[in-house]
Amino acid sequence: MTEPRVLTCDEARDLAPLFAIRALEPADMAAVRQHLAGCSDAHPETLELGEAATALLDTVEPVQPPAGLKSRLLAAAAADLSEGRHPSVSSAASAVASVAPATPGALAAAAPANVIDLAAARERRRGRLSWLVAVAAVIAVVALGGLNLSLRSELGAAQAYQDGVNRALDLAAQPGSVTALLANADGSVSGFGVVGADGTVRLTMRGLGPTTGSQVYTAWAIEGDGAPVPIGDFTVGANGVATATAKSPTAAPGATLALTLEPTRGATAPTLPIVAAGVTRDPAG
Amino acid sequence: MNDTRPDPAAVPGAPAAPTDEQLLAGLAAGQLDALDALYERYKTMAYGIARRITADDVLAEDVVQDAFLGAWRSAGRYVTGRGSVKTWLLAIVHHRAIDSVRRRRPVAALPEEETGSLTPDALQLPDVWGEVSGRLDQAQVHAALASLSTAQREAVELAYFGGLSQTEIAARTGVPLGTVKSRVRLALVAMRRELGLSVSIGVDAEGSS
Repeated sequence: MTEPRVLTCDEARDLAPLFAIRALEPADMAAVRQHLAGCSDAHPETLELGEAATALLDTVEPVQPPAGLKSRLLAAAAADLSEGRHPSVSSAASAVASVAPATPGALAAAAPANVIDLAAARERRRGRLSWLVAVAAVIAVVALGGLNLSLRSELGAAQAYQDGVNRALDLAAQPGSVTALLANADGSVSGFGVVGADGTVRLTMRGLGPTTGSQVYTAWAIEGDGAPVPIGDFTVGANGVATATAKSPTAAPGATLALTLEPTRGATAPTLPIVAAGVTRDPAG
Repeated sequence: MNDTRPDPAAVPGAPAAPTDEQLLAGLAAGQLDALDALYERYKTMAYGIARRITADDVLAEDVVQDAFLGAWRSAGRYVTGRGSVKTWLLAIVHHRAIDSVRRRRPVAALPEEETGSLTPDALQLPDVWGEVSGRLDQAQVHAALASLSTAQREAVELAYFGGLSQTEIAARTGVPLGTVKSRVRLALVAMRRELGLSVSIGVDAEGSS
């Protein structure tokens, strides 16, 4: 790519109207941007024209989006957290880079330390569980959002999933437990994993393809740069929901939990692709 | 005297809803419920804008999802004082929608810088957005738009809602590039005047070049 050409203040002013409505050719857009970034003049005309342009957004009629859009958005955002793409996730999430496509630069972003509690005081009284309850609520929304409730089998799957989440929450409430949101890239597979202080793992997943024959899903724990350690196998029925218990060698936050589909039980190395993955974190911290 | 007491809540006794700024801070901190709330607040405007620009329901959904995910990942880069959260968010939706229709357009008109310098999914945060949008009512903006000449309105709408560049507008409307530039300038200045906003920009160039 070539460097943007250097503009004088007069040239930047001349281009301001077209810049404000993004109608300049890309090279000129870049040139104006570069000028504004380095110019001692505040160029108020750019803001004034930009404001007039954004006022046009108010002329557009609001339209109700399809209901499924919110579920997809929240699932994708949850996957961001579990896969370390969100700037708030600690750099311990870089362990995921080995199992999931990482976004360049995302991990370099500084993590804001300041977490504002959006819920009211009653949420705060629940202490460390409030975060988990919020997460579980989102997962339930995600689960229900994709369902056609007229189908009884799917309602059953939602119930099975909810039961699994509830059991996992019990473990998550114990001191020393760490939690992870697991998901794949598009959010079609998602779930919740809890590792107790003694290494007991409760995993609840939805959206998994059913296993056939000798196939199993294998859960793996990956600590730092270490090799994946198999921690348990399970099968999945037609409803795509799994609630499984496993034993992890590590209960420290920052470990990656991952799922793969294996041809038989007892795999010692994961068969790619990774079906879902997430990084454990201390829910209190 | 009790008039110094702060009274932030609009509805006495009701729990104050989080402000847009608080929700955005929640996004920066990775709070999914904040994203949920911000989406609920602006989903119909966002989807309306995306549909208007893309004229495609499915593409519009992708645009809205990408824009909110972009805000989710970039909330920490929002600059307080340069405009409202609402306008920032809707400007992201607007940019994303324009990018998607430009990508879809099968023209050779896209210079290679566009594809060469941007990764396909790079999110363009708004350069300028301001906060007037949050304070105006729709009828006022419609009236301001109606006050423009047909040629001015056409130039602005082709660019802002059609995603056309200056060159493409000139070709479409059969006028020189300089005329497109002056029409857009006159249109935006007139919009500000009609909206009762200060205008410091000289309107020297008549749209005759």
